[in-house]
Amino acid sequence: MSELAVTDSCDTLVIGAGALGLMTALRLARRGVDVIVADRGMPMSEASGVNAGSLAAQNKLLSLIPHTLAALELWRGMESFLGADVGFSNPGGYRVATSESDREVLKRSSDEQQEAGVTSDWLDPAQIASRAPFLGSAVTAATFSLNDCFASPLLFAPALIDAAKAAGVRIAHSQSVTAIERNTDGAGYRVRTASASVRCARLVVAAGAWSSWVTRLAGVSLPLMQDINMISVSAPAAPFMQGVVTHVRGILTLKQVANGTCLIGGGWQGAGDLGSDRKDIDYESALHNIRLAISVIPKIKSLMLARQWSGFEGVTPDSCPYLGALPGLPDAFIVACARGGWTLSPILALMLSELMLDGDTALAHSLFDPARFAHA
Amino acid sequence: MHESSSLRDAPVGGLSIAGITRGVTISITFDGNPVAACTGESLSAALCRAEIATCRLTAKAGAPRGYYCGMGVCFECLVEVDGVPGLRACRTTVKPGMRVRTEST
Amino acid sequence: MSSVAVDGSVADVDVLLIGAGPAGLAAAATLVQAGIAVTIVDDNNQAGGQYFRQLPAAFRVMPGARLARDQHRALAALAVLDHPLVTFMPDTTIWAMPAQRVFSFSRDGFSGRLRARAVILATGAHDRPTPFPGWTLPGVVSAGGCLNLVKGQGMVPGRRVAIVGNGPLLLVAAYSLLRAGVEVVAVAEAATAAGLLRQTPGLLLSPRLLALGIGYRAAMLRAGVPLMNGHAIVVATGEQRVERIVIAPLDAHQVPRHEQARTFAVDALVTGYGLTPSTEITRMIGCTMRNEPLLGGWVPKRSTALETSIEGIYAAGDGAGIGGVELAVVEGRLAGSAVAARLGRPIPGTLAGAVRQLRRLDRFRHALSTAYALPEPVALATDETTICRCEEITQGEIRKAARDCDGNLGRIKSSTRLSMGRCQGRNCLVPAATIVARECGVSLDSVQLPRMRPPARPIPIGSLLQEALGPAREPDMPPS
Repeated sequence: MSELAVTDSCDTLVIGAGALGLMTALRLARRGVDVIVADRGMPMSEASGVNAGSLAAQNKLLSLIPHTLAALELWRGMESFLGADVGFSNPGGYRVATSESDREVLKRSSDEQQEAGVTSDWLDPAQIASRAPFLGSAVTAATFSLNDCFASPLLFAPALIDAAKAAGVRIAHSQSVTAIERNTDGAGYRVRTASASVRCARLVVAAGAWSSWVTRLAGVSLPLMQDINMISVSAPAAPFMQGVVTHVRGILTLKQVANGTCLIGGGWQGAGDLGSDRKDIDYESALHNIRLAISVIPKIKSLMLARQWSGFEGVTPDSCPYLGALPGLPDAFIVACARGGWTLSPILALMLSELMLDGDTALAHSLFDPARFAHA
Repeated sequence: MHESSSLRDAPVGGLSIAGITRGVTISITFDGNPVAACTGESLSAALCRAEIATCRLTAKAGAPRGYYCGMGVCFECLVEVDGVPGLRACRTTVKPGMRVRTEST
Repeated sequence: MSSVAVDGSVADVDVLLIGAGPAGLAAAATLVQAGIAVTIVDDNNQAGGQYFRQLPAAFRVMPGARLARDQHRALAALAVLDHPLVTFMPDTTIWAMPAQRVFSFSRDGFSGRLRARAVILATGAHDRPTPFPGWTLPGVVSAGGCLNLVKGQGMVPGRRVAIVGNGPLLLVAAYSLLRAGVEVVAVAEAATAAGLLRQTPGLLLSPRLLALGIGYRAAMLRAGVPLMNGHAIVVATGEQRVERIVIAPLDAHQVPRHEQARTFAVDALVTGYGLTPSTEITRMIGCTMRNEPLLGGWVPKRSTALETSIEGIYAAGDGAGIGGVELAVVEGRLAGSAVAARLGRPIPGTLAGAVRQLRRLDRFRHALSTAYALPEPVALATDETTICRCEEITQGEIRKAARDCDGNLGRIKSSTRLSMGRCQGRNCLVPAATIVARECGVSLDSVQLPRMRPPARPIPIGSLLQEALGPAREPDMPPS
């Protein structure tokens, strides 16, 4: 890792060394831009490092489907893009319903998704029993899509860090940003961190749940909330399920990964607070999550609980990411808080790099405009 | 009385310590082979006495592992018991007819 | 003996004792003296912990057979479990603390929560992991593992056994095996004879314990057992189990001098480099910890009344700092007295007496640890040696990760899976931290251990079905 010098300079300073920050930095660096990435902690140690690894299309907002499909295409080629194994697997995924109203929502949603390009098979109970016998009787309906995948955050992190460094990106850890000033002598910014100061021509905020803290330093106010997501992991077990399982109400993700451990997620909220950096397990919430997992895949109750953890995730008011120019500031951008940011990271990074260097990008991005919540 | 001779006098029947009557003999199997165990002892004790040192093979290297800490915190002595994998032999008490197999996860 | 309803609800108890070893039992005895009800839980199917470990109920010790040392003390301590104010819950795993002084337990496929007015953690110790080439071979057992076989299962680990390591427990293990008729082929202690002798004045604070140690050594010598000080294990080899070991003298930097190595044929190897406190619970609940090498590693910070940094939670015995059974009993009494006072039922005189005894034993403990302290940590592993036994990660891989991750143990953990196996880091985190500190040229204290999160021990997921929960607050996910 780099140490930042007391005075350092670059073309683009990226604040935040998570998947979005490092991917953006990598894209820019491979197109010749001189990039420094600064993080308040260690790179890839927050949401990007502690998520459950799902890369699913079926559980995304309809408006994000084109971006998700593009992202999944990039994930399929991620191993050669980064030059290292990221534990990518494409077993497909089951999206399940456990009540009558769920079933109706699932039907409507999967029809909409088909139109948007997410192909899936509708499974009635008999088909579920034969194709996915590990799903319990609580599952009354399900769709199966080959678009659902997963990868390993633990493998992806060093792969991305190494690729960024190989492209010339300087990564500085333990450098919390304390001030952002516009240069009086021309364009660009001077950014002060814990123990250094960086001059840059352009600024990218990719600070995840902390993004609004950072933009506030530059005088820009963006509405952002912080979720505290929890994951429970089992001890290794012989293979008992295939595919990523998600719930139509968005309250469950389940997968068994290569080493046999089973990851249970789903956005159940832990306890804590960003200001004090506290992210604890909410006991009852985690147990409800686990019980739901057991009702969907009964075999889980015979496993041992090995570990639980939680992580912060930034969430915008409409659950769509911030991507684009920061309002009111020249040469300052943001890419953050995608609610599914890990999945979307390759495409959002590509889009921002194109916006920055080419002035435009193919996929729709006005719905990500950081200024969209500003009142006239 | 020389302590050294009294120390060496105690005969060792296999690995059991003399002067202790173990529980009634029962029969269990390990990988299909019969093993004589004693009521009340741990599965680790029965396997060790039967000179079975390997409980499992590791996932990556397939290396043999067995009893190490005896208090249930190292998770080396994992075996499959009556079809249930991932059990610690040192924390399992033998029961007649128990079917034990080498663990493989 | 009363019982706690195990029906999945939160049960209120007066005092919760976590651990039924010497410290926990002593605390229980003190508390019932004050008329206070206690609930004492233990992971094992029997009380006694490691030191007072008992044979299975189905076993019988023949008349005239020599009982384990201190067996009468064990039985006396265990008698408190029959007291009507004591509820004993064996086979009970404490795994989380969801709220202040509320502890989750898992038992027999059930789970529940206990809310206490005061809690005493008496979680004991486990063997300090000291990796060396071949330490994962079947037949290589820890000193604690050896004593658990002897005391708890009435057997020995092998017929031709070598015992290597450091610390007072080593000779206890060696002597137990010798007494059981095992051929002890070698005993290798890392501490030098000179180092041990230098501490004799301090050790005189407990003449009985000093005499015990001298007696063990004398027994080795009389039996013709090679007792080598300043020596350590170089490698253990064998096909499917340990068959041969190599022992060599250590130089001034604790590095083995291979040219003077000796080889022994064995069928079991006992390795013990001291004990380290079991601090999963104290770390998980957020007690302030500090690294005290003479106490065996990271320990919770405690007041003179043994209260941790968390109000109402006390810690006693080896689980708060290695000190042996005498100290554990006194600390158990002291914590019991402190809790009695906290609950408004002080026992006159006990607190001051216990504090006095504690001071004396503390000084003895200090002398004993110093006697065995080595100028530098023993570093027997090579780059090929497995450090993380569960995930099969070698020293070489950890060193590389240390360089790549700037010595940040959290990142090293994420990128190698170190400590993410079933043992939850018990056997690898401290050796790994030592390797990282050495590789990055920093002090061991500065290498932050990763946060310990629930479960403190792995528990069966199925046991979580029975517990009574409040209504589910589903996460507010956006409509698809």
